[in-house]
Amino acid sequence: MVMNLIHKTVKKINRLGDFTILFFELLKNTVCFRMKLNHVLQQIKFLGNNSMAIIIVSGLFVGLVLGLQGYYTLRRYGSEEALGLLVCLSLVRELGPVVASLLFSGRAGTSLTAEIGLMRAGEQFSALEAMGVNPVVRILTPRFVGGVISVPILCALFSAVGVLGGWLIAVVMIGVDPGAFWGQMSSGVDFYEDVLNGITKSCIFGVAITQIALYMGNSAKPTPEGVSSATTSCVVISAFSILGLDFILTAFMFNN
Amino acid sequence: MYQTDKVSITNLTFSYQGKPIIDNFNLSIQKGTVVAIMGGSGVGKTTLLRLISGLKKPTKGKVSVMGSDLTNISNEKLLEIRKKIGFLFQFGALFTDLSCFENVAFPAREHLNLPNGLLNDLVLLKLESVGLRGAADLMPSEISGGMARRVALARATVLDPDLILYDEPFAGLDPISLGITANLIRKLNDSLRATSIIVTHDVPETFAIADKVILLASRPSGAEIICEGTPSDIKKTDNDEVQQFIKGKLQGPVKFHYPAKEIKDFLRDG
Repeated sequence: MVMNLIHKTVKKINRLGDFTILFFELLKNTVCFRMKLNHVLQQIKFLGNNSMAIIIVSGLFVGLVLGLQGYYTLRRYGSEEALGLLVCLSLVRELGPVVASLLFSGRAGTSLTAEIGLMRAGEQFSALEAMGVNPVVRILTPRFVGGVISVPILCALFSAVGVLGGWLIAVVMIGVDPGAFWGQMSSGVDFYEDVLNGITKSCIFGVAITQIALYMGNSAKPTPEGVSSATTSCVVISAFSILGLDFILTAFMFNN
Repeated sequence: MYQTDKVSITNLTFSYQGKPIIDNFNLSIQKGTVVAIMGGSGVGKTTLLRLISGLKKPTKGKVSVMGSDLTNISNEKLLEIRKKIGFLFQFGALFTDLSCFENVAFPAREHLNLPNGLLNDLVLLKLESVGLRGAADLMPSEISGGMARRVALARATVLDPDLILYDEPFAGLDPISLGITANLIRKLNDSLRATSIIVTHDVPETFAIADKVILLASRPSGAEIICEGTPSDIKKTDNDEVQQFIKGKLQGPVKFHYPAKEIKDFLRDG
């Protein structure tokens, strides 16, 4: 029983060590620009462009719901004009980075894990090594950079579409004064305090999700069960990491 | 230092999860030869090939390839050495998102800066040599397992390597492809002045092309060489284990069943 616990703890620590080693290797390759630009662009297209549909649709609905919920609450205090500010702050500070990152981990993170896991299972990584190609440089690094670039852009897109959704509800459907909607928003939202902090959050989430997805695929057992379990772990660990990191970052960023 | 041995293995020991696979193994392979490593399933032939290519690290001992000790080398240098090694994997290990043409072109694109026209000619010639020029635009999912292995053979030799490692090159091939592939391995080795190591079970085809055959047998302490020499030497040897293997006899010292208790111990009474 005790030995089993020790064995499991040592295994977890080993995995954490492997995770960190892979992270620094990817970071080193990125900083030294050891990957080819066209491979990175391919990954931005695969991870970013292909995730746009789900991000836009989700962003729109989140904006619509925020608009409705915000209106019901603000109406009680006669502050419907502040709806634009409420929607924008909610999206830019929290919902944009968090929800878009969660969606990205479900849409692109899982596909990364499954792809890398299956490549390992099919001995494609061994084939790369055997032909003198470093798989971390050739396969993992362009995906890492592609993911890290895509997430902040997708988060910004999510927030922008969400604001439009809020505007649709507030101005077009409910009839809030458009001047008040946009005016409150532009005066109440601070670029450094809110927008930049939101972008910083999404960049950190992008690093976390892509690194988790790549590590899970890279360390998956080369069997169908192994790849399936790694894909599930990718979503679960990414979700916990996003929410945990969000709490820590919020505590540091918005404590005035 | 003048090096006649392309591959030199000294006191090699390899264990996996505490289980000994190879124990105190010594082998030297001379330049320009085709050497076949044969033996029963699970004896450790593929592991040996992976140790020679540096894909696995030995537990103890030294593996020297083309004058470089792979056990004491940086990852960058190992990757450099591997550019001169062609490796044919047991199931091809083709990149499933690339066409046959792109699979063969991959090592050349990564390591050489060839103009597109020259690269195109090189890849088509390599595909022609394995009889699959017509399948250049097909994806790996659209070709059979045997064809995939032939594409992988073209990919393994596209950089004209000095050392070619073949893991079960004849498995799953039809009789025509089998004969052609065996001849191709010999011709490639001679024309490139390379050295080839083949891991296989296929006795007739291997004996027809190999300069030297090494027969491995499984022992509790790990794989051990039971016989080595030219194919005719092997055929003449009177070792029962060797004769059972090359003639495919059912009766002999090598048991078909994996070691287990008597079956009656597991059956219910009555």
